[in-house]
Amino acid sequence: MKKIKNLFGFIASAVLFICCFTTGVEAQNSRNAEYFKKQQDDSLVTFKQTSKFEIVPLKSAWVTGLNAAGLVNIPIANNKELSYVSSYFNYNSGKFVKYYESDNSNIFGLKTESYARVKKVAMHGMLEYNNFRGNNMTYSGVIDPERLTNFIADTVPTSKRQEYYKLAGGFAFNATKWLVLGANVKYETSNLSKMRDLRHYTTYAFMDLNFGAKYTSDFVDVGASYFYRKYNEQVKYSKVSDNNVVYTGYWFKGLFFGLHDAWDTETLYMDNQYFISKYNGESGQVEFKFDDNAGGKWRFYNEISFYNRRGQTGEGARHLYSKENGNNFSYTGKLSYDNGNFVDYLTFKSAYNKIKNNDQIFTSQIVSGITTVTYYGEVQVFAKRSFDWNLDYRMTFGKGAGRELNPSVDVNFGYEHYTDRSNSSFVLPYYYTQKITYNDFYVKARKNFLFEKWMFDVYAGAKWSNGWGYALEKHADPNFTMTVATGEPKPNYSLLFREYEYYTQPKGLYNFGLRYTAFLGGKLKGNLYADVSYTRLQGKNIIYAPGKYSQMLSATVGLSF
Amino acid sequence: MNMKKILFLISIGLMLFCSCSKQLDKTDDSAYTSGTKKLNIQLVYPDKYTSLVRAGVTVKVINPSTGVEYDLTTDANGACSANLQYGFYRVSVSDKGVSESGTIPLFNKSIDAVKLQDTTAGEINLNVGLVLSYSSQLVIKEVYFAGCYNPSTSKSYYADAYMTVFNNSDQVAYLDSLCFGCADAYNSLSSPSVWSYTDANGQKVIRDTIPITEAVWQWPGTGTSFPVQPGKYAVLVIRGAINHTLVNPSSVDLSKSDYFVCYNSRYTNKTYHPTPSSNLDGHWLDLLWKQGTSTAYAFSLSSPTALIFKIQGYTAQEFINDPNNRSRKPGSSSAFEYIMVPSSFVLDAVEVMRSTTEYKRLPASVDASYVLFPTASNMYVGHSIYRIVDEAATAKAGRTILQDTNNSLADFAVSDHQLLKDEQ
Repeated sequence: MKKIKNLFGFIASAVLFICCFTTGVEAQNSRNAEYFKKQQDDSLVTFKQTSKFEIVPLKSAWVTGLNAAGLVNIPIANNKELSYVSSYFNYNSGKFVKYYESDNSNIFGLKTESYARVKKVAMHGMLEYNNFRGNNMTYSGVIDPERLTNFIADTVPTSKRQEYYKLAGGFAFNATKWLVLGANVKYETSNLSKMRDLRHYTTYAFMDLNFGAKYTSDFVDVGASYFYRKYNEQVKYSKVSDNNVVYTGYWFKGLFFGLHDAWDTETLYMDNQYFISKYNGESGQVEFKFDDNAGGKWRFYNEISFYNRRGQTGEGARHLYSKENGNNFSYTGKLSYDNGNFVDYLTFKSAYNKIKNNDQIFTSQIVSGITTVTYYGEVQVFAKRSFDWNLDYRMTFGKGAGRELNPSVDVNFGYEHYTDRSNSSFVLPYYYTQKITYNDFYVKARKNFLFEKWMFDVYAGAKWSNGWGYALEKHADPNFTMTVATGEPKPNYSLLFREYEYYTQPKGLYNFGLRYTAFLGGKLKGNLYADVSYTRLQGKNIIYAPGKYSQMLSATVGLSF
Repeated sequence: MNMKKILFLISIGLMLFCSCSKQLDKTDDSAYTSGTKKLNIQLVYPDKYTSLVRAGVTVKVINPSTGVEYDLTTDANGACSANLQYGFYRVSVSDKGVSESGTIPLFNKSIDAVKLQDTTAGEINLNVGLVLSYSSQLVIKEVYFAGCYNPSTSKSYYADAYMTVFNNSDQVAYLDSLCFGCADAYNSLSSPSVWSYTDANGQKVIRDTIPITEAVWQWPGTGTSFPVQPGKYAVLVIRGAINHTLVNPSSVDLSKSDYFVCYNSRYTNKTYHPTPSSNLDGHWLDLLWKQGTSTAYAFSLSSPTALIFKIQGYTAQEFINDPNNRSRKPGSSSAFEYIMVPSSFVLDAVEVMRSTTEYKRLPASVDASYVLFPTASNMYVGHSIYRIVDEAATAKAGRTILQDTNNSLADFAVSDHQLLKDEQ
């Protein structure tokens, strides 16, 4: 009996003891949970306050690659997001600019962008608008003549205004444990107007669609994607004043050879001209992954891509004046190491491009109201091949809270090599070749000073460039048996030599800037930042451009959250 | 990763680099190894002149798309050939024989739109049948049509067009009953003339009857009323026969008493047809025929054709009144009619074009080519076209002889001012 009493006493004591201890543990667990939640909330606040949006895509090569499924690699946790809204203003001056650019311009823009992961679906969205005003602009009716194989142009410098809109969005998700699917779309549109005779109105639209898939595993990720791009540009020249001034128009068809006459000559088609290009491409990616015992993550990302380019000048049907076709082969390799505090990236990129443009030879005749078009064939007028590669090393260092997307030190340097060879075959038997080669060395550095309620960045960079080659070399077809009486083609030498000089003469690009960021508390967790920078491009031995330097002052104000 | 694999990857990289470099070198290759077709040309002289078949005759092949002109030289059989890029070409030939009875036989032919198409198999063979014509006693010496700049008003001024007709022979010539007109179309063409036809070789050839558009003017007179001495010229004012220098110092005085004028009350636009100076009384050309409702005589400001012709076998009025000598434009529903003048009636003609990419309006028998007068550099600045002096013939004859091969590309040049101003 005594033993039974002792047993019951022991059991009761034990139960009492267990209850007391358990009650304390629950309370302790609850307090711990609150503590951890607060830690997470504080961590999120710190993350939002200190993160730099531009570091997000840097963390994984998949995010900036050609596979839409790669968006799934953004360093954003589930049901979290990082966004910003900003306004920017750039003022440019200086006469060392490309022949079609302005020596006195400004641009004002608004931009918002966001990365998010919602229920494990990674998303990206971007919206941008800017308004450009430039003075003293001429020699191109299109927005970017270097993108095209031929373009129309005027010769009267005056002011131009341009509005630009960009909309981009994408998503990627794990369809299964090992399969990621994704898609993205980019759409840009722009209107450019020249404000004085000989005036033009240019509309531009660009669309980029990408569909990708990725196989993921612990040691290797393999991806493939298809992308489609289309450029559509329409240029309309017109004259408003009723004076009898005759303006000269140009239709450049490569190396500044081409047709020129009074702008309203029928064969220039300057009153309404289309430039259309379509790209169809595929890409493949392989990333090898290795996590070492010290917590370091090694990633070796490889991407190859191929696209073919088909384009035309003219709306089509009986208004088809030339056709272009080309190919591009690219490779990107990125080796990275990330141990959480120290991250470095070694990137190698290379691309080979070839393109040729053929004139459509045809006649058009209207008889009894019916237009009859007779095609004779295609004649090559321009061809270009280029090869470029870039080796880049970047190192970021940042330890502690607030450094996930905000390195304390960010250093980047690299080398770039570019070569292109062009062939203009505008008039039998002559053809003219050009070779441009240039090398760039660059270095950039950024230092971030982090304080309790604000942070400060200072950054600077420099790039030195030098090139060589020859602006124009004349050849004749060896099988030609006739005599050329008249009509040997002549390019626009001033533009030809000015463009050649821009790419091959020694020049230095220098940039420095400051950024102040104030952390925001309360309901709006994020930061408010202001960034100003100055950039100067200085050329050496410049003869053809009207000046030896150009400069840009930039200011940006933004809200990141 | 062992050393072998690293070396393997490096070697692959180097091979790719070298391959890209070699690919870049290919850009220097000739672009003309494809996209060409062979054109074989055979000159065919008129029956009486087959003995003129010989080596050394120049055949001009012009690419209107680019403006380049190639010269080929015939072999002993009067043939030549060349590889040309796909497209359409203008082939023209000018040759001349030895003097016959004081005149020189001229052989001209111009074929527009010789087609070299990628869909056509084999080589292209072209027979060029040369057309016989003779150098004329009266030739067009100068045509001023593109206006000038008026510094007083800072505007262009084009009410002062004129043409001069020169006596290129050693005999007195008479302007009586000589006709003047322009061929359709007013301005040079961006597509082949609708008045052309497709010959047996499948090539576009301009017909030999010339459609005169809008108006036919005729010098008055009884036959010997208006002589032009050897080496002298007469001025025909096409617009205002007034002293234009009073309102525009850059213009000319067209009010001289020995000038002639295209003036008729049916043209009511006083800017272009003011009442002529009284100095020109009795020197108004007769307006034999006018079509359309135009209030000013439409003489092209940029690229006219000008013809002087003499109707043979009838009076000019009888010729014009005969409906068989009139035609509507092929393929047009307009009732507008054109007077069809045989090229054999034409004493001289000149055709002006704004660019080599345009198409001819006149057959080769009256003008084998054209004067190139680009708009951008020649409009409203006082430029005119003039016939050059045949230095060799002038030296031999001891008097001024202007070059006349019925080929205005060779016979004419562009002057930077109205030549009439030099003599005023």
